[in-house]
Amino acid sequence: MMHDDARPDRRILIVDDETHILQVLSLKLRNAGYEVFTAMDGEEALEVVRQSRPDLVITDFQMPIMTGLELCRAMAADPASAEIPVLMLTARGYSLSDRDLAIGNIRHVVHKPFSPRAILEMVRTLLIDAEAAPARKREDAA
Amino acid sequence: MRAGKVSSLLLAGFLGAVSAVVAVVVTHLPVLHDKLHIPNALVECVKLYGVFTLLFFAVMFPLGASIDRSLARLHGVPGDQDHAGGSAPRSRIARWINPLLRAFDAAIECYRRDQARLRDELQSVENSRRAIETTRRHSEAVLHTLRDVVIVTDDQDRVVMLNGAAAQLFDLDAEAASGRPVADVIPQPRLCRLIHRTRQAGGHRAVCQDEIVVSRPAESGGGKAPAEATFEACLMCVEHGGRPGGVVAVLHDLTRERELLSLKTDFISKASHELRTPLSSIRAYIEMLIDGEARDDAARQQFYAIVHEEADRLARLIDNLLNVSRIEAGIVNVHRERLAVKSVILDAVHALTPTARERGIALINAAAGGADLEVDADRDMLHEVMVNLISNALRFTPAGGSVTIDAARDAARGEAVITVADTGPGIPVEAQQRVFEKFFRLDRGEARAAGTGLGLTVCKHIVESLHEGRIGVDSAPGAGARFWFSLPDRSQPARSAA
Repeated sequence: MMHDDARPDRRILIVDDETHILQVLSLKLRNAGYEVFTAMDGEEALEVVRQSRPDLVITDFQMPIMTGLELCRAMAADPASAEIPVLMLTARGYSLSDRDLAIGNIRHVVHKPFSPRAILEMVRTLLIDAEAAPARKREDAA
Repeated sequence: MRAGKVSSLLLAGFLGAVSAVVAVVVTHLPVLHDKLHIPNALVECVKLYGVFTLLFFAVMFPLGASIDRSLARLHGVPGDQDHAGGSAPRSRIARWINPLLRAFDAAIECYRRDQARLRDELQSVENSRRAIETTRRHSEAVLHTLRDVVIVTDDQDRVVMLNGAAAQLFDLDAEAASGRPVADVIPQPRLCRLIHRTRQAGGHRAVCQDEIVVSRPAESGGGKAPAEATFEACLMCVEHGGRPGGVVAVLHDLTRERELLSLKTDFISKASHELRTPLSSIRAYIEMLIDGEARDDAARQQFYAIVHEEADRLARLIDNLLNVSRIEAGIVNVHRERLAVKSVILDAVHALTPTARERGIALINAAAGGADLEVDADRDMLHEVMVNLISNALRFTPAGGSVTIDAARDAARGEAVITVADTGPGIPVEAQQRVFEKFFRLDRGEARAAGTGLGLTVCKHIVESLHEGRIGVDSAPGAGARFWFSLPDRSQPARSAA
């Protein structure tokens, strides 16, 4: 199941308090060749972000202890994690305002119920974009 | 005797003349006429009567002596001798008197008819007055019992009427406010301006609508701080003879409606979130199966089991949502019957023993040898409460732990108390009051995922709203949780009698 364009060194953190969601997304992304970390709340996720430096974070919006949005804020506040792209999963899309989305590096908001296939596609695109962005930055600086 | 009658007639004629003179004077002196409030019909009758009696008097006076003589003769000389001589004067007198008597009768009859007509009219006016008074009282009662605030002002913006709700909202005496300028009485400049503007704009049926925010006075003794309330104000100008006569302002409180709307929106939002969660799992796992992401049969079997379990959870959630809304709407039929508490517990323990065994948890029925308690309840509902409480306990108890069900009599309260105690992680004190709220979840890992967020709400509704019982939880973090509910003990009278 290893996909050609998935570089095994790419690390993805999945954060959700629903074990089934964690399990299904982990399997989908691992089968696609990514290294996957999981966390069940924002606080645990922040710890993983600091220690493992993932290339992308997929997080649920509504979670105990620290919500997905609070996690994004915390990540944006730390220069080491501010550039990590975030994909937000939510069962309550309408409660996220544009102002909320402007905080942190939220690139996409996916409403539940979602398709693991679509998530994988988004992950690929985001990682390609993230890879291109530093190169662009270097070109701009030059 | 006849002489007496004629003399009376003469006297009546004289009095009639005097009455006629008085009637004429009264009629021709409007000031006197207005002051005495004499009905016109009466004056006309008296005049008519006077004219007739005057005529009678004028004719009878010159003939008075001869009539008297003739009558005296008639009266004084009875018998056959004078019969032939007396018949001529008698018929002559009758010829004079009879038409006059008929005229009198006609005048009196006319007067009586007028009097009866006036009496009828007076009765009709009195009936109308009573009807108007009743309508006025009804209208006043309606206005004063309305929850909406009603303010009526006149063409000078002075208060004509305030209903009870207005007096309460603005904390004033409705009687004392009457007649005073509205701006002096109601401390709402915006509302007073609206009233003034509505009156100036005029035009009957032109309704002015706006929203105003009013500070409610602090409830006396309640210790509640003044709160702001939003009102929808509807104002209408009332015209008098084509000119603006005043304004009727009605203020409808929107606070409660907005609160209910907010609660409803919140409920729908939470319910849809809870519905999406199992649906997400079902959809994701099915897609994984379609895409062949499960590597072997064991993985596929696990996926099928998850889909099955989540579909069950979705069904439970929908059942609970319907139960909660039906109970809250008051459309649930409770089929009460005398139930032995032991049998209710036994049924629930039987139903959940396989689940407990699967999870390695000991399910202990400590009520089996206890008192023979009885309650009046709906069997299915009580079973649901028991199953919900035991399932909850099993979900939060780690393998190797135990869930104990017991029942006891609270003699002081006259209640049968049923308890479900687990050896799980317990519930923090601050969460204990909230566990029965809709969609309240304890953040306790995997156990959280399996619940619907409504099980305990349903239990609370069944016990408290439908069975006059009580429900609660005692717990200390790390020491497990003990959920209990109590219902009136129906076995007590039988026991005390024995």
